Amino acid sequence: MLDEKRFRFRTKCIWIAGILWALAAAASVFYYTVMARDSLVEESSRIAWRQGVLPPVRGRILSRDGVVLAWTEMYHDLYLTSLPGGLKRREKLLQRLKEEGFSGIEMSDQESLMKHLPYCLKREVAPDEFPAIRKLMTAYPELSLQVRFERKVLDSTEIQSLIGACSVDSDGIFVGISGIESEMNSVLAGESGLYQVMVDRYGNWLEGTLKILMPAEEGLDVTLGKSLSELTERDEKTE
Amino acid sequence: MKLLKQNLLKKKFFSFPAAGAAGLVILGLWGCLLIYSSKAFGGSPMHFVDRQLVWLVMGAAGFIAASMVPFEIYQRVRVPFFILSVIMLLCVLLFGVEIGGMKGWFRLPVQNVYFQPSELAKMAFILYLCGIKNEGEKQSEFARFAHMALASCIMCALLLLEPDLGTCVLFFGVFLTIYWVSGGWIRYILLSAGLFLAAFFTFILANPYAMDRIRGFLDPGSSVWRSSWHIRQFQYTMAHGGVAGSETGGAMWANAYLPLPHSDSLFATIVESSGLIGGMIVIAGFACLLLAFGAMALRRHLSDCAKLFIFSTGCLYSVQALLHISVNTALIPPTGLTLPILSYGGSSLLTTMLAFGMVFSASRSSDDEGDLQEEETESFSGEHR
Repeated sequence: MLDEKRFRFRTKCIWIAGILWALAAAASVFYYTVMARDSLVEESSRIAWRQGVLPPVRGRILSRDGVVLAWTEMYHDLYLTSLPGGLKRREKLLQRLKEEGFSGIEMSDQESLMKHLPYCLKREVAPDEFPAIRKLMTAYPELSLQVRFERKVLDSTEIQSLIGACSVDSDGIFVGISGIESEMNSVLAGESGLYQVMVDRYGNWLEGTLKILMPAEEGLDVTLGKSLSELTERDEKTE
Repeated sequence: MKLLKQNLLKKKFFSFPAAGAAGLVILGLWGCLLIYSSKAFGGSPMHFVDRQLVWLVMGAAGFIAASMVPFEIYQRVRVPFFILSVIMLLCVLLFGVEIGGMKGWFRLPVQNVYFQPSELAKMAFILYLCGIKNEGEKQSEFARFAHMALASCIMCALLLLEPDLGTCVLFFGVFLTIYWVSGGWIRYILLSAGLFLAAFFTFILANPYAMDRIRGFLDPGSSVWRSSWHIRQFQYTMAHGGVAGSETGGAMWANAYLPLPHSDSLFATIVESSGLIGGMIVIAGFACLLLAFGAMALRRHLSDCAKLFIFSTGCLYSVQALLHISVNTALIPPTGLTLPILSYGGSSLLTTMLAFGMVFSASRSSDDEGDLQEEETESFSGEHR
């Protein structure tokens, strides 16, 4: 038979121990949410928030009759930015990439793969592939879709030599280095903007956290004084 | 007729299974909301919530069914139940699935459904130990202690092989609780605590992941240990909650930086979304659970086994909750224990609700006997007037 008196006493002892433990936990929560809050939030902000330059859209170069001679195109590339730490998860990721048809990467040679990170899995992902890619990225945050801009010029040797070329600086902004791109760079370039965004532990942007601190100003289009035929004719005559 | 009315009136609120089920379902729904919040900024939150809702419905049905079964039946099947749980824990080591470095789940034939046998083993273990008390009159104190210790060693050893150190510590705590409140001797408690600590430290030294957690806990500012990063994230997550919750009302930091925000790190997620106030409600809730089950166990008309079972079950889930909260508030090193009812996890939710159903059954079983005795006494008095 249970000794009723002893049972009651010992039950109450456990009650007291439980309440003291609960009070210690409550005190700890109070410390982090009130007393140490400001310093912890500031420290965490340095890890999580990123500022970056918003590259402006470079202006187009058109002929007098409205033919676009130079323009900017946007592409999306799929990158593998890191490998999961856990072996099983890493194997699953690589297996899944193989099943999705991402060839050209040596799945078995993980050490070599680590040296080439971030690794481009696919360039120019088509818009109709986005839903499938997003689903993959949701399961594996180590994947990242990165935007890339390319400066395109009309497919004509004469026009290309007239228009010139651009290079890309460290902020991803086009800078004209020859021809009309260089002469009219200040008009075409526009003004960069500034953004702030919160990133997760994989470096991916968190939805809904993007703040435009300063909007980018698009570059202005430049219209040449001659039509397309005149431009190509002029060059033929020169030759 | 008068006696029947008196009996109905004596059935207090907390012995009515439907009301209990309703209360647990409300808690479970709050848990689903928290799980949604913990996954809202990335991933697919409804994937987890849908699955949890299914388990909640099953759990509610299980709770009502379990509370309807007379407690005497549970007492009768305690030995086969215990043996079955030991067999399941053995089988999981051989045929189970490894998740997060722990081989503790069975993968069921239904798509992507996993079952953790250690959750069911909690009830089997408590029932078995409480039943040993019943036979205590025929045994010496040492024999009773040895019997209980042997059962505990078997369970703890199987759990350590998975390895599930957190649950092992919980089981050991339950054993000490049952032994002590049932009148156990202090010397045997100290002996078992000493032996457990020796085994505990041997395990820590033999397992690098456990050592990493201890080192990270002792040096949370270090960037070397993964666990120190985890502890830092707990702190940042709670800080973002402040007094009344984050500005967005959601758990953005938990989503972005906290591992397992929907299960092992749920308390920190709660504090981020609902602040110090929400955290206090949870802590107070589980402290009240301990008090309520203790008060239930102290009712005079209950049998010894029922009293021990009710109190031990309350202790188990309160201590599990306090351990989870202590990990999330960086009071102890990280361990993989979930918050009962609220955390994501089908087997945990289902077995917790079954356990509460068994507690309701235990709280009512001897009530009926007590009422019957009173009824007989009154009718005897009536006959002799």
